Amino acid sequence: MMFQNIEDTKIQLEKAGYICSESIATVVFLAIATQKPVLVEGPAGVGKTQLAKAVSQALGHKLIRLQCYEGLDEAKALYEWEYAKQLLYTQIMKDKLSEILAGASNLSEAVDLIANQEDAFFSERFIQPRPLLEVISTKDTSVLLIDEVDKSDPEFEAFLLELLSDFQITIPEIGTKKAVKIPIVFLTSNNYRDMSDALKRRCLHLFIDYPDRELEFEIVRLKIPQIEKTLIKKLINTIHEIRSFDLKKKPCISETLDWAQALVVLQISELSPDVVRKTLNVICKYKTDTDLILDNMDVISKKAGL
Amino acid sequence: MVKLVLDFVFTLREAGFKISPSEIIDCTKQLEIINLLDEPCFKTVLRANFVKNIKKQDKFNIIYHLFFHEMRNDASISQSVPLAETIDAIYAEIKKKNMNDNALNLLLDFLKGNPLKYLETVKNIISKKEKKDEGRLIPLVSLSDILSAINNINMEVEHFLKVRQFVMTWNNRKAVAGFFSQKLKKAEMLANNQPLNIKKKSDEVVYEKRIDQLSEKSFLSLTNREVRQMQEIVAQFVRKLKDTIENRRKRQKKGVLDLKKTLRNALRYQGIPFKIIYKNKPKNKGKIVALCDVSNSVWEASRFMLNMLYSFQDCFSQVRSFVFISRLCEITKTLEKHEINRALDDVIKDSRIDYNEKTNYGAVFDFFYDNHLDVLNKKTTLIIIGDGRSNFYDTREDIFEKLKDKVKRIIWLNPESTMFWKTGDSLIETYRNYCHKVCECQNLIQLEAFIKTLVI
Repeated sequence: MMFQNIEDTKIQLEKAGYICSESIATVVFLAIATQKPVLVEGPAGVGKTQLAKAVSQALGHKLIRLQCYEGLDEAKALYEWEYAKQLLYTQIMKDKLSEILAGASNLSEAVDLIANQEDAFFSERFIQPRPLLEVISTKDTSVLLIDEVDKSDPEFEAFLLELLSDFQITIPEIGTKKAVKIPIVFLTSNNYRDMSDALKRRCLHLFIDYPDRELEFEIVRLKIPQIEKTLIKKLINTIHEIRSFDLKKKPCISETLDWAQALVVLQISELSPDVVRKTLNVICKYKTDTDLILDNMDVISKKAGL
Repeated sequence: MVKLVLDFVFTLREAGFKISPSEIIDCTKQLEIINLLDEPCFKTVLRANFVKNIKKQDKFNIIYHLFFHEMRNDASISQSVPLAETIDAIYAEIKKKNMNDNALNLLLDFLKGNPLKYLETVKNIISKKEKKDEGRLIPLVSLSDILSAINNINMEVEHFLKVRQFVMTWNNRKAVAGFFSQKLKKAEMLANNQPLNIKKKSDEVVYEKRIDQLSEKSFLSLTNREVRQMQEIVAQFVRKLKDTIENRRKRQKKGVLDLKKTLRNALRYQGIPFKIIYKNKPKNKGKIVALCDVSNSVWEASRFMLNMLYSFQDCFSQVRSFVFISRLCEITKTLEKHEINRALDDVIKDSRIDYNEKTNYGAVFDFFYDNHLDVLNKKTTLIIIGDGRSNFYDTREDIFEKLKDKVKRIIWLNPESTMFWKTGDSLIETYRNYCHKVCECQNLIQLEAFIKTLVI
C-alpha cells in the first residue's frame, strides 16, 4: 500500500491519529514514492517518533525500531552469532561428527573435513537478527525507525551509510544481503551532534518545529476529544506564551497533551492563573523554568487572555 | 524546469550551501511527481533536498524569496496594474528603436521579469573585474554598455511620456515613470555593486575565514556582536572535542582481563570463553578550581575560559569557580543554576563585585587561603586567569607558595601578550616561580590548545 498523493498522505496520517502540516505530508509522500530515507530533526517532543509510527499504522506496515545510544554497536544493531545454539547443536550431533571424521587418517585431513561442514554452522540458522537485519530480511515492506541517531557514535553513523544508500548489509561469514523489499526509513535527531554530510546527503531532510496555534488546536482536539474548545484555545495561548520565554526545556506538543489530559482529569473547565500555577509542574520540567514562569505569571495571563 | 532548479542551486551554492549532484537528481525526480503549481509544496521539496542544516533554514528562505519572488514579482505587478498596456507599448517602442543593442535587450528582459540572463552577464562582468583579467575573453556586454543602456531607457521613457502629456493623466504618467525608475535603479545597483545573490566568494568561505579571524583576534578587542559569534564557535569546538574525548576514552578504557566475569560468561557456553571481558579502567578525573580576574582588561578571556570549563564539566570530578577584582567571591552556584551564557551575564551583574576597585592579587590569594582552603587537595588543578597586574599592591608570594604546596598543579593563563609581561606593574614573573605552567592566552586558538591539554 502507498499514499496516492500529498492530500491522501495527509488524510491517511490523520486517520492514524497524526495531524500534520503540508510540508510534513509532502516530504513523507516523496520519501515513500522515491524510496529515500527521511532525516527528521526538531526539538524534543514535537512528534518525530510519532510520525514514523503513524506512517507504519497508516500503511499497515510493520514498525521496526532501533533506539540509538552511546556505545551502540553492530552486534546490537545488526546481528549476533548464537554461540550457545551452535554449541548445543555440536553437542547433539557429536555422533554425526565422529562419523564424518571417521575416514580421516591424520589431523589435517580431519580439519579439512570439518572445514567442508563449516557452512552448516555459520548459516542464517545461527544468526540472531537485530533490527537492521530484520528490516533487510522481512518479506513485506516495513517501516524502520532509527531513533535519536545523533546519540550514536560516529562509527555507527558511518556503518549506516551502506544500509541507507544501497539497502544492503554485509555479514563477513555469509556475504552481502540485499533487502527483499525496500523499507521506509525514518531517522530522528535532536541535533545533539551534527550528522555527517554523507549521511545527510542520502536523506530527505524534514525539520519539524513547534506547531502553530491552529495545528496544535487540531492535535489536542483529536487526541483528547472530551475537552472543551474554549478551554483548548486558552490552553494553547498560554502554552505559546510560555514557549516565548527563554526556558531550559520548552513545553512541547506532548506536554500540551499531558496538560490538557490533566485538566480533564481534574475536571477543570476554566483556565485561570491560579490553575496554571497549580498545574505548572506538568509543563515545566526544571525548577528554574517553573520559577521563571511563576515570576512572569501576570504577563502570561494577560497576554493569553486568562 | 531542470535549468531553473540548476540556476537556483548555483545561487544557493554561491551562498555557501553544499549541494551534491545526487541531491539535484533526487530533487528533479521528486518535482516530476508533485503538482508544480502548488508553491508551498514546491518549496518544501527544494528545502527537503537542499537544506540539511537547521541553522540554514532562514538563509534558504531569504534566497528562495529573492530568487522566485523578488525578481519575478515585479513582472506580475507590471501586468496587474492598469498601466500594463502603456508599459508594454514603451517596451515595444524601445525595442523597435534599438534592435541590435545587446545590453538594452538584456535590460528589457530584466524589466519584463526574466532577470536570469541579465544577472549572469552582470556576474560575469563583476568576476572579470575581480580577476583583472582583461585578456582574450571580453564579455559581449560591458559595464559601460549596461549603464548607457539604462540611461537610454530612462530617456526613452521620459520622451514617451512627454509625447503623451495630454493623453495620459498626471497620475498615470507618474506611476509609469516611478515603475521604470525603480526597476532601473535596481538594475543599476546590481551592475555597480555586488548584490546579495551573486557574491563571488561564497558566504561559507567568508564565514570560515571569519571564524579564523575571530579565533585569532585578541579577547580584549572583541565587540559585543563578536562575543555572541564567539559563543557559537565555542559551542562547536566543545561538541567536536567531546566526540574526540569519547573516542579516546573508549580506546583507553580497556584495562586488564576480568577473569571473574569472563568465566561466568563462559558458563553459558560450556566453559568456553567466547567473550573475553576486560575491566574498565577507572576514570582519572581531576578537580578544577578556577580563579578569574574579572576586571575590564581580562573579563572576556575569563568568560570564554569559564564557558569551556563548564562545558567539559563531566571530564572533571568537580569544578569550582571564583571571580575577583580586589575581593574574591564564589560563582559556582550561579553557573550551575542557569545555562552558561546567561549565567555569565548574571556574573557581571553580581552585586558582590565592585568594578570600581583596583585589582589586588595579594589580598585575593590571602583571602582564598584563609577561607577556601578546603576546596584544594592534591588532585586539584588550580587555574588562575589574569594579567598579573596588581597595581603595585603587596604580592603575598608566601601565601602563593603555600597554595602551590596544597595542589597538584597551578596553571596561570595570561590574556596579555608576552611582550608586556615584564613591564609596569605586572607581577607575572614573580608568580611564575611558583606556577607549574604560565601560558599566554590571548585568543581562542590559544585557549583551545590549553583546554585540549587539560581534558585529553
